[in-house]
Formats: sequence, C-alpha cells, structure tokens
Amino acid sequence: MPDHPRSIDEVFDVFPNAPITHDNLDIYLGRLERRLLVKRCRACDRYHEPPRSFCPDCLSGDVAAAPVSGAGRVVLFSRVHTGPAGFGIDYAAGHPIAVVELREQPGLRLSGQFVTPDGRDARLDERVELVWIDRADGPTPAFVPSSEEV
Amino acid sequence: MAQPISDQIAIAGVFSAPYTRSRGMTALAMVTEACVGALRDAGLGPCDVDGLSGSQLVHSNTLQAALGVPEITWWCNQRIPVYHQLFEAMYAVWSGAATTVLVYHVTYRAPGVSRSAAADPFRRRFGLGTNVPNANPDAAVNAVGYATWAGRYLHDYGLDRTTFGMVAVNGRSNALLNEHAAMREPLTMDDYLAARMLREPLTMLDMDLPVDGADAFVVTSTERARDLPRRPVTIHAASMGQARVNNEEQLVDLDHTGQQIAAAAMWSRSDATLRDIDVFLPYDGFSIIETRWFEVIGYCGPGEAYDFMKHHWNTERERIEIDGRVLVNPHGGSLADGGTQGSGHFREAVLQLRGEASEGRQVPGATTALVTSGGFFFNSAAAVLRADEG
Repeated sequence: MPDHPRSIDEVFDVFPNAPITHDNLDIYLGRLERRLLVKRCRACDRYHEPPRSFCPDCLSGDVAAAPVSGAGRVVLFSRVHTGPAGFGIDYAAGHPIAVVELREQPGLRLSGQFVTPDGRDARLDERVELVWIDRADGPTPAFVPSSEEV
Repeated sequence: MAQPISDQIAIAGVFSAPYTRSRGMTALAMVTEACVGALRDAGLGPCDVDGLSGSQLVHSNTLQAALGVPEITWWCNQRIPVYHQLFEAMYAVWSGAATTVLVYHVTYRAPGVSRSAAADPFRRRFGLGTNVPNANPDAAVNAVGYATWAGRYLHDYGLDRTTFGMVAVNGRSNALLNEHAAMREPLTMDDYLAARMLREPLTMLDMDLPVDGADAFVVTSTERARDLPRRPVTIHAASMGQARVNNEEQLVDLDHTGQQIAAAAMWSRSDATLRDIDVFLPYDGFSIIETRWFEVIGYCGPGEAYDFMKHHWNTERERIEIDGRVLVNPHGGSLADGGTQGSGHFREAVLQLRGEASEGRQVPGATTALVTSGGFFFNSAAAVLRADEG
C-alpha cells in the first residue's frame, strides 16, 4: 500500500513539466502534501539522491521515500539570469538556486530556490530551513535562512 | 611508465570544416567536408577506411553512405566530448577490429542555444539535437552545475573573477593568431569583467561559444602511418576518469572528480612528465574547468591557478607562456576558437606536433602535447600526444 492517498494521475496533472519516473514518483506524491521526502534504504538506513530503486551503498532493493527536515547548510549557490521558461520565474532579477546539504546525512544534498524578503544572495555555508512555495508546476520545496541563526 | 599500446597508434590525418557562428550547412555536410579533408591530408580514400568513430549527431551509417565507404568492420556513435571517439578508435585499431578509422565530431548551433539560432527556420526544423535544456529550474546541473562550483572555488580560495578572466583573455589573445578562430577581436580584462552575467559568477565569456563546424581525424597504426605523407602524431598515454559520485549537486568536492582519476591514470601510463610538455591544451568549455586543470594536472596546487597564470603571463602578448615557452590553448580554446567540445584541442595538438600552426602560435620545435579534456562530473580525460620520431 502506498503511504499517500493521492492518485498517480493527480501527480501528472499537478506537475506537468516534472520528469516523473517510477524511481521518484513517491517524492512527487509527497510534494502534493508538502511533505519533503528523500529515498532511504530500510536495510542500511542510508539516504541517497537522486532517487533510485536500489540502495547505492548496500545494493538492497528495500528502498522507500522517507521524510527529511529540509534543514541544512548551503554548499553551492548561483543566481542565474537564464533558464527554462514556463515556471513564472523572473530571470531579469535573477533566479537564486541553492544546493543544501541536509542535516540528516553528510553529503546528502537537495537543490531549491533561495527565498528571502530582501532577495539577497545566500552565503556559502549559511544555515537554512525548508519552505514550500507555489509555482505553475505545483508545490515546490525551497529554502529560507535558518530562524535559529537570526 | 609506458604501456604496450604507447605510441603504437597514430593520427595520420586531420582536417577542420571551419567553425563559425553559422555555416549555412547541415551537420552531415560539415562532417563530410571534414572527413574528405582528413582523408586527403592522410593521402587516403574512402576505400582505405574500415572503421568509423562517429557522433550522436551524425551516425556512422549515415556518414558511411555519404562518403561511399564500401565496407566497415567496426564503428561506434559516441557522446561528446571527442576523446570518446578518439580513444575508441585507438582501442579498435590496437585490438585489430579495424585498421584505419575515420574519427569525426560536429557541432551544430541548435535553436535552444540563442535567440539568433532560434530565429533560423532551418535550425527550428532541425530540433534541439543534443542541446536538450534542463527542465527543472532549480537544479544545479549542466551549466548551472559549473557556475555553482565556480562560485565555491572562488569562495574557498579567497579569489575573484579575474582568475577566470585570465583564462578568457589568454584564449582570445591566442585566437588573434588563428585565422580559423570564431572570435578574433581583442579582449581586455576590463571587457571580461563587464561581460553580461549569465549564471553567477560565470558570464557569457566564461562559457564555450556556440558554433557550427566539424573536425575529422584519421587514426591508424603508427607503423602504417609512417608510410603515409604526414608525420604521424602518436598517442603516448591516455586515460579517462570518472568518480562514483559524479552528479553535479552531490559531487563530494572539486578534489574528488574524474579529473583527478584521469590525471593519475594517464601519468602512470606515461614516460613523459610535465617538464617534457611543449604545448598544453586544457578543456575550457567553462573557464573554471581550465582553471582547475592547471591544478589537477600538476602545474600548481589547489587554489593556485591564479598565481600560476599571473607568474607565467606575458604582459605584451596578454597570454600565458609557461616558463616563457609553453603555450596554453594556442588555437584559442573553446572560448575563442569556438565550442568544439574538445575536438579543437586535439586538432591543435596535431597541428602543433607537425609544426603547422601559424606564426606566433606555433611552439617552435614542439614534440610533446598534453590534452586534458572534459570537466568535473562525467567526462574527464587526459592524453599525451607526441610527434613520431620513427
């Protein structure tokens, strides 16, 4: 039984542009409910990205999407002035992309938009936490500066 | 230490269908032009070819029919960059799967790369080719992957964009001496710093220039190449390199990439050392890649490329001259010769080792070239090429 009550059809409707596969379907089902999930091995407890059906650490096939906090630190950042159209992004102002290493596991990273009231750049290594934003292609995880640090 | 294959396989012919912003030709026509030129250069004809090392843009069956090659016993259709095609051909000849392989590479400016390309009705009908854009606006992959790691590099070593500017200025200054280069206007550091920002900290002058064009190479045994008109250029040592974690976002750091693996394996198979190198051809599809190759291949330590380039800078010519002698991408590299996806670097190595590069660009008496191809994630390779002495 899937952990989510939503239908597969709904995922394809809500995320018309996303590269949905059998390996990442659970992740998008989670996004429908604004739950941030990452693939985790039930045999060795290791998380991995990008989503796969076999654990790259122990090769077990007992892999499932598991919740993560979305809190961590910014490892990589760029403000891009060009990118794919159709998402309602203002590239003239620059689209801030952060790659965040999650506190759950060293080396485990997710990317997302960096969101602040004043639109500033992220500082490398600054602490961030999860926020959900709405875009043309459905609920999308993004990152804000950590409230613990302010 | 040299291996059994060292210097046994040679490049016997080379030709470039010139790279410009728009050739007004199909990819097949450019490849055909390059292949005909390379065969003529090698003193061979289509009947002498029994292997084709082709690309995903023009498959080997299409080219075989277009060139009238009667029969082939080996082929491949590899992805970019061109060292894939060259190394495959080397191993095919070494194994006996083929005796003479035509290696080719073509780039065609797809409508996704610029507004002017999108406005060309021929390019619109062609589709996106291999230039498929990233569909996730938040992913730090492809060009964004290089931009984010470029930012990390500058941050970790306390450097600024003038580091990358030296790579861009060196390429452009060299291109002024290459009549076939696509970008032939002088570039100053001030010009570089004022360039339009695309993906911070990288500007439009930090990424390879989209062009049309093709290169072709004839690969055969060194023994056979010695009976042909041109001085053979042998492949002395070569290796590819790829790390387990090679995805842009998950990469451990810049000290754990395919570059380190390719460099270590290639040097372990080489009798030549860095001191023997006469011309250095680091891949520069993004300026950060060339910056790192100086460090990874052994010219200097991590974070020291800026100091290294500055120390070896010729202020009169506005270019790098290592020890006043070794030129770096004398053809202009991907940033100025054009975005050849690495084939320009191998073409220049062959021309330099045959002593055929233009004046001011030719390293006098060059016998040994170092080509480092590809970037951080899943396309690194390194090779030493030598002028045959046999």
